[in-house]
Order: sequence, then C-alpha cells, then structure tokens
Amino acid sequence: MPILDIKNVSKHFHGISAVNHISLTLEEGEMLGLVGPNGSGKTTLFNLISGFLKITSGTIVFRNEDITKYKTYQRVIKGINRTFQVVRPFSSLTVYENIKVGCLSRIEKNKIIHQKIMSLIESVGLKGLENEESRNLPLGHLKKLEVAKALATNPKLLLLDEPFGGLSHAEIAEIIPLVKEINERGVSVIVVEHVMSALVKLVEKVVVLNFGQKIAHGPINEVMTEKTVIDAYLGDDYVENK
Amino acid sequence: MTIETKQNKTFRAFLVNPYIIICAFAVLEVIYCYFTDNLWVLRILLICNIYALFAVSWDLVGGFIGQISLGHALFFGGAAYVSALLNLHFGIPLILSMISGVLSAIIFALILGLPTLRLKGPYLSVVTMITPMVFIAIIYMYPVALGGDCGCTGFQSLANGDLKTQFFIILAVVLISVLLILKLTNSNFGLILKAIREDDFAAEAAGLNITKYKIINFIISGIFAGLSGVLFVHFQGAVAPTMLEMTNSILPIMMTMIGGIGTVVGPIIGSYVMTFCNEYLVKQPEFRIILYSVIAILILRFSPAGIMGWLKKGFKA
Repeated sequence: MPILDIKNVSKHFHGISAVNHISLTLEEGEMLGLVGPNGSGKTTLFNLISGFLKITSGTIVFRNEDITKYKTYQRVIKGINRTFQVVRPFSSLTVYENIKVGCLSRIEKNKIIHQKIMSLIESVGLKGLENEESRNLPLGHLKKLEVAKALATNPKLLLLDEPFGGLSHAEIAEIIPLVKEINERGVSVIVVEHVMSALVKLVEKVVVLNFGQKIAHGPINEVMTEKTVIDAYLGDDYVENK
Repeated sequence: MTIETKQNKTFRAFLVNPYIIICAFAVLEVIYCYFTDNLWVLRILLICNIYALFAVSWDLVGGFIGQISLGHALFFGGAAYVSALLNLHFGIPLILSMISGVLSAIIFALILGLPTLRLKGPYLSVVTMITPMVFIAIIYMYPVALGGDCGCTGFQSLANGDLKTQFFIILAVVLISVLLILKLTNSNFGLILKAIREDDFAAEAAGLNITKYKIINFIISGIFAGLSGVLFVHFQGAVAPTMLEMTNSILPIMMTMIGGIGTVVGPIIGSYVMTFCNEYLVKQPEFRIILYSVIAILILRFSPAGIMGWLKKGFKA
C-alpha cells in the first residue's frame, strides 16, 4: 500500500512553473532518492508535500487520505515531517528543548516526553550535549539535531532535504547509518541529496527532476546511466570518474 | 576550592533566580509599607507595581513571541473604561465591574489578534497602533456617556481610597499575576512561545499551530494588561483618554527594554526605574524625555539585554 501518492502536482509562481505535473508514489517503509540540478524543483516538491506551499493543481494523498488542503502542522500530526536544507534550529534553546518542541505537538505526559527526548538524543549521537544551546553547535551536530527534531513528532514519512550538505566525509559516514536505522524502524524516507556517493549507499530507487519535471524514475544504478539524466544533471565527468 | 566554586555558582544562580528576585521585591515592599509614613513613596511604589504588571504583560507578546504591540494602552485603558463606566453608570459592584473590565480585554485581544496574528509581518504593530486612537475618537464623540476629553470620576475606589490597604491589595494581585506569568513562561507553553519567536517556520514544522498559540498568548497578555489598567483606575479614582494614548503604549515597551526583554523580571525592574524617574522629574517633562532617550541609547549600546542581561552577566563572571 502506498504511504504517499502524489497525483499530477504542479506549482506555479507568477507564471513560472517550479513543479510541473509530477506524479509519484512511495510505498510504506520505502526509501527514495530525489535528485536533480539546482532549481529543478526538489525543495519545492518537499514544500508542497509538507504543506509549506499551496499546490496550484493536483492532489496529495497520504495513507489513503487526501491531505492537499491540510496545513503544515496538520500534516505533521498526520505523520509527515521534514528537515531543512539550511538547518533551522531554535538557536537560543538547548538541544533538549529543541527536541522537546517537536514532542509538544502531541499531548503526552512530561515523563514520557523526557524519556523520548533522551532516547532521541542518544540515537542521533548528541549524548552529553543536551544542555548545550544549539547556536553553539557545529554543522554536523545541527544536521543530527534537525533529524532528531523531526523524529520527535513520530513521523511515518520523513523528508530529508540535503542531510549531507556541507558535511565532511567523516560526518557523512556518521549520518548514513542513522538514516538507515530510521528507515529500518519503519519510517518511509525521501532524501534530496547531491552527494551521490552517499545516496547510492542509502536508496535503491531514485527520481530525477529537471526544470520541475520528472525525467527519470527507477533503480538508482539504472537511472544514473540514462543519457537524459547524465545530460541534465550528472554530467560526463561523473560517468568518467565512476 | 572546587566545592567553594560550586557553592559560589549556586549562590549566584540563586541571586538571579526570577522567583527569588520577585519575592524579594515583594517582601521589601511589605516591610517598607508596614513601617513608613511616607505616603508619597508608597504611592509611587504602588504605581510601580501596577506598571510592572503592565510591562510584564507586554513582554509576553514582545519578548516571548517577538511580536511588537504598539497599542497595549488599548487593554490598559479599555479595560479601565469598561470597569469604571459599569460601576459609575450601572451601579455594578466594584469587584464585578473590575472582572468585567478584565474580561473586556479578551474581546479587545480577539478583535486585534484574530486578523493580524495569522499573518507574518508588521500587521499587528500597525493595527495595535491605530486601534487605541479609534477608541479615543469614540470617547470624544460621546462625552456624556464616556466623559469626553475630561474623562470620568465618581466611581468606587479600591478599599475606599485607603492608600495602605490599596497598596497591599494591589501588591498581592500583582505578585500572584507575575508569578503566574513566570510559571507560564517556564512551562511547555512558554517553550512553544520561545520556539515561535526563534523561528515560526520551524515551529510549524514541529507540528505546532502557531496562530493558535500566538492568539492565546495575546489574549493572556491582554488579560494582564487589562488587569493592570483596572487596578490603576480604581486606585486613581479617575479615568481619562490619556490612558489610551500612544505614550501609554510606549511606556511598557521602554520599561521592558530597560529591564530586559523576554525575562519577566526585566520589565519589573524597568518599571521601577522609569516610574521613579517619572515622579522625580514630573515638573520637567522635557528633561524626562531627554533622560529616557539617553537611557534607551545607553542600554542599546552597552547592554542590549537590559539591566537583567547585565546582572546575569555580572553574576556569571
């Protein structure tokens, strides 16, 4: 059963088409890559799924429910959450408080919330930093915090927007198993990423966007050899280096 | 050595604990009031307390969700008018008219908050700045019922005008209110407010209905601002359109800025500083404005977090 069914979704900004008639399905527990050159509509599609932007036409169905007109917070409560390409921590709040904010979207007892936060802090590898203000954290830790904040809302579908952007190889190597573990727990994941070497370790299927349109969809190893994808996104250098 | 440092640290943290500061203020005032015969100082302290609550109520909006209200005088003056007029024209008992005045602040908050707090941008500031002017115009339009330019007198005063009793009643009400606000800001609700202030986009991504929280917070702020107005009017024994003027909206902002925004204790300190300056310089209003400007510039230059920020820094060192 598909957890997410995007049907013919378009988004226009004053006549400019950012996303054009895209259809996409994601199965429960699946992890999908979403790639494409800058400006191809990846983040716009994330904004449409998470409700930060209103769609111009089309429908979004999540777990058999049409959520097209739902607001962002309603979608989060239904089970969709996301991270941001440019991390958005609550700067003056501590790591603990940042994660707690995500827990407060549901009515739970403070004791349960505390246990949940501590377990999330441990699972993303931020143990010992719970009382640190997030403005003092390096980017690698902020990316982990971003994931923990999203997980605090108990998502069924997690949208990761460039989780490896700006990170060193060592930091990427820490986050890959984290994302895999989240997926293994049953959370469906869509990952937008430019670091292809990391993406191939994570996903089996990938969707490629270009100028707001879907130009390829299928197993990552096959898609990455398609001429249209190489021409539009990867470039000849990628193929030669490979 | 280590134990000593730890003890010092605990003691310093104790000194800047907001509950300790607020209760210390209250205890000192009670002791002073009990022994003093200086009614002038007592009167100023009473006004300080009322303005402290008014400034703290503004801080809930300005400091905790980062929305600038330029018309908090509407709650202060509006609730004061409702309470005074109900008591004067309809003979409603004092306590009931005061409660009605405070409840009217909820209506004012809904009128201002519902259309503006859904939007991002300066809409709240613009609407809150204009609305008190509309109310002043209405008061001038109906001088018989609303008192016009001169305002109204003749309604009941708190404790039949006995200053010492008034002082204790107002201190108790303000103390309970401020402690409630402090409790609120330290609760999960307060954490949500801080998250909205930091990044409302990210707060929404955390599954929070930010409009709902902004409106609830605005209503709470309005209730306490209204309460301060109601206390003021039944202490003063007169209500006038000046209570709704822009200067009265700027006052809590200045007090909060001087004391420390988003701190609850800061606005209380700021209200003491400004109210005493006001009273000492009552005969030199021009000099008063110059002094406020200088204080504001100095605070912004040397301690943008206000006196509270400076104190916290000092006690940390």
